[in-house]
Amino acid sequence: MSNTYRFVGSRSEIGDKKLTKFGQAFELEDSQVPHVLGTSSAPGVPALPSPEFDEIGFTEQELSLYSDPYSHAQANEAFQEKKLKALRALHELRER
Amino acid sequence: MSNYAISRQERIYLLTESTFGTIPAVGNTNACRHISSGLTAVVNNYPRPDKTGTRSQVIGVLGRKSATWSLSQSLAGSGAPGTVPDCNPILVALFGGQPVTSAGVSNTYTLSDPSPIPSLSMYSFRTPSTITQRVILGGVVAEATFQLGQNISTWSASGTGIWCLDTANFGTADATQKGGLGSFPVEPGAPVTNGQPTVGFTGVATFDGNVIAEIQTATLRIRTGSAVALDTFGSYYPVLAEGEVRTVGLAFSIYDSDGTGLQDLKQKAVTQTPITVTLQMGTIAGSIWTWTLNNVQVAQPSYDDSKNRYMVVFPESMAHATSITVRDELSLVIS
Repeated sequence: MSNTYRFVGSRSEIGDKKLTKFGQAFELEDSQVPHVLGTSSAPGVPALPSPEFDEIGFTEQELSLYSDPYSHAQANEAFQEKKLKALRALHELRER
Repeated sequence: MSNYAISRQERIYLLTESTFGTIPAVGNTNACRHISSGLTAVVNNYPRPDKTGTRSQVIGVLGRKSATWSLSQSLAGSGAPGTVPDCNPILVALFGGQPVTSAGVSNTYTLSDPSPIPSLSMYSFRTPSTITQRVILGGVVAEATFQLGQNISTWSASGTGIWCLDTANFGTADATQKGGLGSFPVEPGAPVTNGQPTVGFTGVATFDGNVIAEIQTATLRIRTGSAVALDTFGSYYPVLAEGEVRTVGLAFSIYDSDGTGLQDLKQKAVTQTPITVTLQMGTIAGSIWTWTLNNVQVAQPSYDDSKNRYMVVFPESMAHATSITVRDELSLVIS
């Protein structure tokens, strides 16, 4: 079984798969999850399960405007707060 | 016909060892992009010193065995503040421990002097898989050098290790050489790498509280004084790592000007009054490396007129701990 994950880093690669956009959706087989998302000491791709990402409440406009990680320095406060929430959720996910 | 090994077709995997010389299981998330690598087994040969009656040398005996390693790479964070970078095992071995994580914000590395000294395993997997594959076990960081001012920031690290195991010799390897492996693993199928490289001419350089925009280059060199012990009685291999004094030095060059920041540095080079230096490398969140060097005693500079503008070249200036009970000469925050 596979689930959808959303990318919250700047750039990652999983084999041939490239993740370059903040919020980019990608599918992962359940069996791959520990080998791709990693742990706190050997972290892999910074990504959240889609439902947890959606809970944070990024708008479509924000994800479109700030899909390029280089644009984040100019992002508004609302986006920055949501991004911080996403990164904290990622930390908690890896600590579980 | 034999297959060639193309230099570009190599991936490195880094792992923090929990037991010196025991290779942890390798997985996709241990991959770390790199520029060049060196993994070398060291086998000594001792010639018998006695006279033979001729001037010819006779065959020697097998001596101590160990390894050396080196790795250079782009300076890259994980791309997600609060997540350690792919190169974390080297940083852990360099600083002496895992960083303190501020969730979603940063990872802070500070110096410590743990015993035993942290070690790492480093795999080099090359293509095709029939080419000799290697792994360093018991790797200890001796030196790391970070460069500021390039197009892409780069850094390198090197050190010694217990052994460099390879597939060509796995069948006859002894228990120490195998580092706990029952078989030599194949490369993980979907290597995961993270983060953007840091643009080397972006960031902020602050010397003694003054931002110096005219800085051109800086080289931060950390010599840990750590090495595997090569004098153990009863073992051909290093059985532990030992540490000497640690030194942290910063060499840098600045376009000459009459700015107050540079004037201050020229004066501090004469008085040897210690200063604090902060080097922020990069400006993109998730790949910002901020170094703080305390108690830097600025070395006497020289003047270089080989470019259009005069350059003031400060040779390696050493950072120091504030007192005999702390190790605050250097810290690193990746945010």
